[in-house]
Amino acid sequence: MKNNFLKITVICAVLFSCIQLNAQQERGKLFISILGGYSSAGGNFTKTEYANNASGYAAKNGFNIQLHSGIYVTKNLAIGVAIGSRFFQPTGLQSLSDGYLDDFDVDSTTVTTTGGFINLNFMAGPTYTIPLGKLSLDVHLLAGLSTLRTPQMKVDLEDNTVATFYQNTSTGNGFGLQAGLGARYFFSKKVGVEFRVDYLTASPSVTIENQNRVVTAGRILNTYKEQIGGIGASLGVSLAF
Amino acid sequence: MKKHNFIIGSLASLFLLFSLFITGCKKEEQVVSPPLPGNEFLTTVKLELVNTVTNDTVIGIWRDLTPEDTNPADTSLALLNLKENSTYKATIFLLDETKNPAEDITTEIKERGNYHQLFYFPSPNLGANLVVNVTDTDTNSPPLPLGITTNFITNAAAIGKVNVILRHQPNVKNGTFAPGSTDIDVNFQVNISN
Repeated sequence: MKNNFLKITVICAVLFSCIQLNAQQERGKLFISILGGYSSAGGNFTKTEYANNASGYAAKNGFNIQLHSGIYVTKNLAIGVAIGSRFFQPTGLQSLSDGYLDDFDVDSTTVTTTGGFINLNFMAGPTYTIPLGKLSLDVHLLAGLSTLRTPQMKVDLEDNTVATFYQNTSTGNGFGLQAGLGARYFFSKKVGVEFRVDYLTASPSVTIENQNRVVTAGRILNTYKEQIGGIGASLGVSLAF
Repeated sequence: MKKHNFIIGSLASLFLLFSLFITGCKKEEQVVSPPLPGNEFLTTVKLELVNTVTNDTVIGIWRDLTPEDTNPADTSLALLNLKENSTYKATIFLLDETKNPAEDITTEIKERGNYHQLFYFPSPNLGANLVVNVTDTDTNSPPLPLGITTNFITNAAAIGKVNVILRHQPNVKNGTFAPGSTDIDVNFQVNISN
């Protein structure tokens, strides 16, 4: 029994080594992937409570596109780079409109948003690859710059006349961390597909630009700094060189 | 190597173009909050003036308990008999007397003072014999007049009216009369005598 276990272990180790050797021979020094998929967000960023200035009014579900690359410095270790964008539409605007209606005591209000929340991430860090033949498993921990751009919001207060104010599109930066697991499967030496799941944490500090806020009344944001991260899953094409 | 650079460049360009396309897409979303039913009425305007020397109190009341029809308001008590060469500290009270007990709207106006302002216009025949100075301000930055408390300063004997107008100026209040709309517009008869 003990001998059988030893034999199996030795055979597995030899096979694994062969696979690794084979993969090492086939794998280039550089890979580059273009991916797209689903992104989630949570916390205050997705809350829609008018009275809570931390509420971000972003949808919980969005999408992402990502350029993911790595250059190997050892057999298994690469310097990874990920440049990605996450997109979330504004949501829960009715509570915003109702809040302004009440706060300004007007006949009616109209809230119009243009664009969405765009989170750009420029990350770099170590990527560890486990080659398994045509398949490679990656784990990476990246750090870098995370930016957030907020949508424009126009509020019309209708009360015989119309008074309008804006929360303009604003951008802010912060530090971000991204950890993820990925799998790359190569159909040939150079072309394959990549699937990955990443978790992002970032709280960019956005200075909000308000326009035509004449009086001190109603919800007004001057800064916004909340956790905007979440989990994302993406699929795309990968090339090796 | 050139081929590799071309492919990498193409992928990066594709990513960049797609990013620009996405960020360039400015989808618009709009929601509307319609008027709320059952808004309160402003049925009663009460002016209470206290003589700063004698402490005599003068009260004038303008009342329209049926604000939704065309029946005229009750102005029989909308009368201010003032002493000449005097100063009165005045306070205005706005009430909804369609409710039982009557609802004091003044507190609400004060809370929402950053976009409300009361204006007092003595009629031309009072001339300079009645000057009304607003003594309170809102919490705007810088503060703007509110008009719930005022000083009525009389000079020589005269007869006329003072027109009291409450302006609702959501996000447009700037200390002047023009922006916004009128919530109430009432007149008080003023008799200044010795």
